[in-house]
Amino acid sequence: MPTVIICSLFLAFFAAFVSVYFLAKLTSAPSDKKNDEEDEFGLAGSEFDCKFKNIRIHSRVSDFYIKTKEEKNTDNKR
Amino acid sequence: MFACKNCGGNIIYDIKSGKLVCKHCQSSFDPENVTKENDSVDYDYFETTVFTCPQCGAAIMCEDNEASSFCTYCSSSTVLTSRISKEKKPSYIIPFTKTKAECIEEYKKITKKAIFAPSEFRKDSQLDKFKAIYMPYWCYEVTQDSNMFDVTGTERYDEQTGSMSSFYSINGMVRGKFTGICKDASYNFSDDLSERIAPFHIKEKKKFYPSYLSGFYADVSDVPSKVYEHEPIKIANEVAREVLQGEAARGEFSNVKVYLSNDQATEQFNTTVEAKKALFPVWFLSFKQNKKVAYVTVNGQTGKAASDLPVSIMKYLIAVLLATLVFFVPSAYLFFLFWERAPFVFMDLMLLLSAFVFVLYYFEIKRMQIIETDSEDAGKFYRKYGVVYIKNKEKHKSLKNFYNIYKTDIITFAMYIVIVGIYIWSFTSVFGISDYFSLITKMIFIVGNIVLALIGFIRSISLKNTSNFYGILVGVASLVITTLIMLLAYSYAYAVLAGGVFICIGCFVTVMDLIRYHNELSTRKPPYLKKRGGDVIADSYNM
Ligand SMILES: [Zn+2]
Ligand SMILES: [Zn+2]
Repeated sequence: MPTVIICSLFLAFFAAFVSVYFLAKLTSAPSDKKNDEEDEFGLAGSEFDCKFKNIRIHSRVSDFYIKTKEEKNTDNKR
Repeated sequence: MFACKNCGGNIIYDIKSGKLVCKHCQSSFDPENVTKENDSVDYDYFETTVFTCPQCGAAIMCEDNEASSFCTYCSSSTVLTSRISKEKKPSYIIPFTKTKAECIEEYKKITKKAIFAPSEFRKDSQLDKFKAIYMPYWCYEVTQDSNMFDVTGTERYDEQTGSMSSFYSINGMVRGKFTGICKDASYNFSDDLSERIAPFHIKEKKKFYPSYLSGFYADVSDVPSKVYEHEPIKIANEVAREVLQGEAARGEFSNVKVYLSNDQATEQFNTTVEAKKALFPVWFLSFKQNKKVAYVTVNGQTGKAASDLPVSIMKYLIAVLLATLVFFVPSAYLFFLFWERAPFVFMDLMLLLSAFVFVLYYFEIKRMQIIETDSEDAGKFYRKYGVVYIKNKEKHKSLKNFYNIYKTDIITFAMYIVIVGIYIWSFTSVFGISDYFSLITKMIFIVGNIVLALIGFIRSISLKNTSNFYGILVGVASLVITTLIMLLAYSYAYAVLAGGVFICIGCFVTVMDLIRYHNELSTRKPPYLKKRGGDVIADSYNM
């Protein structure tokens, strides 16, 4: 009989300190930082104005298969 | 002190009306129109009283002499030394718009669920100590100005034979202006707290007049602006790249992507940055926690609150006691089912649960390690090492995506196998099969547990703040003792029972360690004097 009581007591104790630990951690989690989804660039609270003008796009080279950076560099030198 | 033009009484900035109000004759004044007699001479500096705390070294300015008996940063009652000082005027100020009552309201909202926080965190008499402090911030103004940039656009098609890429030269002109990307410039106010109460809305800024400070505190510590300079530049460059991508990828070029490194963007867009000093409103409260302090901050403009929330050990123990009583009934029921073999079943369950605890320990330490790195303050880091600290944003992201941490390493994988093994084994044991496996299997799993505990311990010694925490070693010791018991007397019920109890206690001490470490992370060392070992004042002043 006493063995059963001791076993039950310590098992209950074990379950208690683990579950209370989770409870304590959950309730003491720090509040969230500003939500990154809403503020992808970290611009919240600020003001900005960024304008591009006269954008011209022209091909540097004729289309080609590319795998390495070197090809691109040699092309620039041409 | 700012004097009333009508009666000479002390006039103080009133948050609700946004004016300086005289308590004696109720007259009110606009802050722009109030000056001290000797103030108007100098445009760049203003005269004020600076109080310095002898305990922690924090300096704060205030017009009011009541400031001289209590230090908010280290939460100690002490006589602060005061001196008259000429301080450089900040460019602008965002005045307080949230009153103390509103701020307490917001604070109570975020601590409503924090039932394990020390009870002083909820006492009204403590909450009355909220101090209104103007924190120095750097407001970065980033400009991009180039009449002829040249960046590369890429168009890529994936085909069966390989991928085809076309390169384009994208030219044009850019005019960009970014204002109000702000970083706190106080050594006393750590980055993690300031990020948690961000943002401040720069739209409501006002030109600075010293009279705004009447009735408030203002922090004087001063992190150089270059400490955070790279961040606004990076933000501006990323935004510009995004905008350019949107502008360029049109019509026949709709698949064009613009890839730009930060340095390339700075060069091509001619990105420059200028820092302006500003004062932002923060409600501030501190609690003494052992030799450290816990801070509560509330954004004085928006009311966003952030608090350090340590766990009260006392509350934790009481809750454990109560929960033990609750769990006792089902667990007693379980053991009555195995009346004869209770100690052996008990041992099996303890081994299973302890494996769980040591795995939990490992993951919790790992997670807290990330929080620890994340809470590094760039200002303090700069003062200590003289090097600009660049935060690893990726680490922050991995914290958000909780499961990424678990996926990555091999140890984790190994541990999964051990756990699954223990599960299978423990179930066979509960149903009386494992008696046939006898001692050998049991030993294997005890040793497995020891390995888990040691892995956790190795993980924990890499942490900065855990040098005093050896709870998990008690866990290891209890397992070793159990091993000996099992070797010598594994068929004696009482011996096995004792072994199980040892494991239980070892696990409890291990979990207590996690709580103490949580508390270590949710409290701070008072600003200047970091008490570590014997060296108290000397080296911190030389820092
Ligand atoms: Zn008056
Ligand atoms: Zn102090």
